[in-house]
Amino acid sequence: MKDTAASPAKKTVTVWDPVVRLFHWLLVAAFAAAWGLGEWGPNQMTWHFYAGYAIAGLLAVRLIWGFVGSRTARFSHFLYGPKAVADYLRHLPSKESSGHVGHNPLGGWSVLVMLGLLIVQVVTGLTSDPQDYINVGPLAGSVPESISTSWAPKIHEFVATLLLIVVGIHIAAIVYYRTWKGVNLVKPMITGKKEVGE
Amino acid sequence: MRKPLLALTFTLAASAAFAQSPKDAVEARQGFFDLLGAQMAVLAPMAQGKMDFDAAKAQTAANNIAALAKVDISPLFVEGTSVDDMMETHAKSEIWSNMDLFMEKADALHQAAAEMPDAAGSLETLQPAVGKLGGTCKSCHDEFRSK
Ligand code: HEC
Ligand code: HEM
Ligand code: HEM
Repeated sequence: MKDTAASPAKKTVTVWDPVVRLFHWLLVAAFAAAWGLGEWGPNQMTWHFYAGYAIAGLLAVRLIWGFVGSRTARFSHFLYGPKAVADYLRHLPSKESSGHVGHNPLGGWSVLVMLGLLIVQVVTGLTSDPQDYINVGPLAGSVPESISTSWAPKIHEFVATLLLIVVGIHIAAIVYYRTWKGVNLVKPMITGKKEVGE
Repeated sequence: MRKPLLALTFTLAASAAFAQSPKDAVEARQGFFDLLGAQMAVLAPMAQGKMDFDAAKAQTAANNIAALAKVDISPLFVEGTSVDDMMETHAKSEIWSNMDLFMEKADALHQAAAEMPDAAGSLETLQPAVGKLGGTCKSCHDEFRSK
């Protein structure tokens, strides 16, 4: 059983550097805007495009940061091998926190999946031509017509739904940690600090 | 644009007179939408500043699209010509299950296109008019055209 109250010493460490935190909360805002405007926004999709460009910029920063950022921000730190993921999965139902500082082995891959899907979404958005002549992606003219008028919009629509599901699982995982494991992951994503028991 | 318009009129007249093959109906309506597109290809880049405003060209395209949008396209949406029935089309079967809404969208196009000839005189009036017109394309494609 978990018994934090009795744990003797607690130490505060920095888990998330400011770039990761700023990236995350700006991404949440831009994603909500892009999704809502894409599905329910005005017929003139200018603001949807702006939200999409913002996400493209954020992704570029995050990808670079994945190589040069602080320790927990690096891909090399949070992408674990299959054995670590399997071990983690076995440990998942336990009420005990896994105690990882930074993404856990499963979470790390989910981050990669989210970033990958977001890249697909940006690329298909940039190359989509809905043939209304007012919401044509700026790169639609640079790809074959079968892509710009058919495949890109098809994938864009599908991945938009897929992202909603993946983000739903993402948030469910955060809630699971909070309610089942008693660990608040959101606070560190805001303050950058996490308490670890010695 | 006179010739295609004329050809289109004949096609439409023919479609009313004879029972068209499904393939002909699809080709005819796609030709109709391509003609709309050809006018938009002149108007939209000007409105978006990607091409210099040319009052004469804008006026021609505006007049054309206003005339085109008057055409009643319903005879071209023959039963049995949805994406569920054939490969050549992108027309969703919802068109036939919700013909009223489909015709409402066609009417929105008609209305917006009717404002074009007056709006084409200056860039300031062209811009919002093209936005509104393009919006009617999008709103029908979202609902009734598969990707
Ligand atoms: C009332 C509904 C409706 C409106 C309004 C509408 N479209 Fe379409 N459009 C369709 C449908 C349905 C198709 C698919 C036709 C098919 O494949 O049989 C289509 C197809 C097209 C195509 C592809 C044609 C082809 O060769 O396959 C173009 C281009 C196009 N529309 C442009 C426009 C433009 C530009 C506008 C606005 C000025 C517009 N449409 C307004 C319903 C609409
Ligand atoms: C309000 C809802 C959300 C909450 C509460 C939330 C919370 C969190 C938390 C706590 C983490 C850190 C996880 C860990 O400790 O390992 C995280 C990471 C992440 N979240 Fe969210 N999230 C939300 C919405 C979103 C959305 C909408 C997206 C994407 C579209 C997203 C994408 C990400 C990504 C990519 C990471 C990894 C961060 C990095 O390493 O750069 N999140 N989120
Ligand atoms: C990750 C960011 C993005 C998200 C979450 C997103 C989401 C969406 C959604 C939900 C739709 C409606 C799809 C439908 O139901 O038909 C849509 C449509 C569209 N988006 Fe995006 N989008 C993003 C980025 C972009 C970018 C960067 C561009 C272009 C610059 C773009 C261009 C378009 C276009 C042209 C459409 C209409 C055509 C279509 O339906 O595919 N999007 N987007």
